[in-house]
Amino acid sequence: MPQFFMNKRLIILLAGIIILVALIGFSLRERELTWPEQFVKDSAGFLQNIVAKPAHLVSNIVEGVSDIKKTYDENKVLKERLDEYAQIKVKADRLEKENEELKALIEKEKDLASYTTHHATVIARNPDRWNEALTIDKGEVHGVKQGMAVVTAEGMIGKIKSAGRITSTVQLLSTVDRTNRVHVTIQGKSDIYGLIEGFDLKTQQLIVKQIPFEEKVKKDMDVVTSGLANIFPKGLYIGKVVKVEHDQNGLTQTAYVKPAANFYNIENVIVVERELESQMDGEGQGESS
Amino acid sequence: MNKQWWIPLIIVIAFGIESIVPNFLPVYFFSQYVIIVPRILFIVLLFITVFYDEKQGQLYAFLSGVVMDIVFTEIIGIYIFWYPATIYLVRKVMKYWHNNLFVTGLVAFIAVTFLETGIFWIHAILNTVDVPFKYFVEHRLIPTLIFNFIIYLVFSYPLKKRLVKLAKMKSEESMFQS
Repeated sequence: MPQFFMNKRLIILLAGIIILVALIGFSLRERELTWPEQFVKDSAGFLQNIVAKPAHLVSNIVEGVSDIKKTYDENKVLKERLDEYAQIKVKADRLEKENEELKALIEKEKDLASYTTHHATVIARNPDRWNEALTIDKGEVHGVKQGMAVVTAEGMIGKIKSAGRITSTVQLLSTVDRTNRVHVTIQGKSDIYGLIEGFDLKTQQLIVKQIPFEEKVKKDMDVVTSGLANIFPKGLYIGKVVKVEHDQNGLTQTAYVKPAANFYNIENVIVVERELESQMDGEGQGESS
Repeated sequence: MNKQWWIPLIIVIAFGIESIVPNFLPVYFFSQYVIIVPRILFIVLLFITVFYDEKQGQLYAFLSGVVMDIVFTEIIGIYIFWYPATIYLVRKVMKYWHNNLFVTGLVAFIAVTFLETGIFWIHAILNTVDVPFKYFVEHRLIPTLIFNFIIYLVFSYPLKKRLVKLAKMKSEESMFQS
């Protein structure tokens, strides 16, 4: 027995394992970054920025060349759509004005759908893609905060998991994590609410659960953020419903949603900041319904 | 340039490349469902351990593990354990074998398999992964091994040459001092 305790290596190994487990337990919780982590992250971000800039330059040139090849065909299609565009523009202007007037009428300046944007460039991506994380070159200094929604031109891709001073980490919707939940609206005749609770790797579809069983969800319905649960604005586009299933207990339904945004080869993203503060949620919910 | 700066510089460059490569990897080339993990940093660490200095390799493996965990996974306790553990096993194995490029390639192949499986296993325990083992092997492990084998073929020779040269310079220096 004394010999067992004399064995220095064994003691160190055991102590190491205990510390390791404690560290994992500590870091698995939803938390803010501690300052040493922020320091390491920002220094690494500085380096990644240096490497990423030439890489983006090269990829832009390659993309530019392939774009030129496609220009003629695209131009043809665009010309046909041009007439349509003018009509839509007039209609949108009219609706916007009308909306403004109506808002002035009920003395409401901001609602859940209004937001401001920050543009950012992706400078790194987690090489082992178990948790899908991107690093972007904007941080707290530029006004990015934890929990904000991140979108590309096609649709929503994720949220800010943690914000450093000059860089921040984006957690993609496809990450398997119990804290990665988004409250969504499925746009039918009336709004149907659900919760994104995971990602099916095999079919590359988002899984929306907690849909009440009496609601009729159909294929090709649009799914957008609801703006009710998180600090995301209302109406960010996520994707289209592909398949609906009843749950085993029969009380809820599960919908499979094909995300509109491409989760690969992301270069530029937009961080979305809702104008309405979160503490005003109660008021906002009542009015927007 | 001062020669003791070479090793950290190589590691920092490898880290920088590894963090931007996944964003540009042409996954569409094969299939959207295949995931390729570049292990450039790990291969560099392995080379430092085999051809330069065992103890320094171990230390750098630990430090890179800390940085990887903080910057990418945000779960401290995955790379911080698996990088040094794998390098430690590599040290044990390389005591019995010659360190030429062929044997090192074989060891690197086994080590990357070990590392990938270990990381999959720990994620499976923590419930941050929900794929079966078979899916992991088919869609992740095999493509990863092929990709890293290509990287190995391209970079192993110049990297070895540089490291052996640095090791020689170091041993000469210590001879003069004693």
